[in-house]
Amino acid sequence: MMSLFSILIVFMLKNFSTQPDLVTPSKQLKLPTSTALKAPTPALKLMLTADVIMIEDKILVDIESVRKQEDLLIKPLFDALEAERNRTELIAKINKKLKFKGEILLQCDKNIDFSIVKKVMYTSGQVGFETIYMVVISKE
Amino acid sequence: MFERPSKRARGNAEALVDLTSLMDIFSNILMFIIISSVFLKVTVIDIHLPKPARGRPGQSEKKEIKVLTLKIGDKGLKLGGNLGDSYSFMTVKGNGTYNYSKLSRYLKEIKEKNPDHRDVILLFKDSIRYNIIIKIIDATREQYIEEDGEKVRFDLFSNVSLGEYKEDDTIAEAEKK
Repeated sequence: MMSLFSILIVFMLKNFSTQPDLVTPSKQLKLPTSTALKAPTPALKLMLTADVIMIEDKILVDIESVRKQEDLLIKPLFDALEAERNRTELIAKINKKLKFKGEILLQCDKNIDFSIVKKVMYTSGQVGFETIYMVVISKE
Repeated sequence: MFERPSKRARGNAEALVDLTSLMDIFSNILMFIIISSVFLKVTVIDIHLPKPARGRPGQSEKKEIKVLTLKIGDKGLKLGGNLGDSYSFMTVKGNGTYNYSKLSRYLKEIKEKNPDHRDVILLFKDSIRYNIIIKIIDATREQYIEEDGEKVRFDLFSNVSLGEYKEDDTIAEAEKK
């Protein structure tokens, strides 16, 4: 019995993940699968669910209003990203080890169309978030 | 005659603890955890948005810039730019999916002729879903070839830029072989 438990514990430890909690499970957020192998690094979480756009689990605007607008700039998202950038730069003035990198972890529902994605990317680029990490589920 | 057991022997008797029920609970909990656990690996695809051009006015680039573009419309894919020999229009398959393997094959041919080039511009129509965007990016970044029963990774164009494609894709083009 003890040898059985020790084998099971070794198996569970081998599959233990030390990744930080990056993905918020939700019925409205189904990530696409990909062959990408790069591990995610901590960055500002930007989520595009089937209904809303969120930053760090805070709802900003609904998807339908973004789809209807003709302008590429999403104002609530722009304001939120600008606030985040200002906050990071303020902290960076005090803590020299911290630096604003302009990175975003984009978690997007697989059924969202490109018209929404392009507006989000445009808005992010306007604030200085030029590196976007698109979170996917590895096929391996 | 039987000898009376010594008091020292009785004092040193080991107390045995029955762990059967405890082990039973542990095994049930462990089985439940193993059955209900989901092993998901989260990875990322990095995209870098273009920075504004910083050229001085009046300064012109005489060097020819090599460009590879891929337009993704509702009816198919179209390779363009000045890297490949010709434009190719790949139609969507009957079940509504694109021919990713054919796309990777075309890109591999272009890569073999231009091994140092790593940039590709993907232009999507507004109606293309995010799921398809990821699959197209996968097909343009790498290709897996089977060699001696093993899958070998072949690097294609890993610097991906995304853009918008507004051209009417109903224009029929002859598929070039």
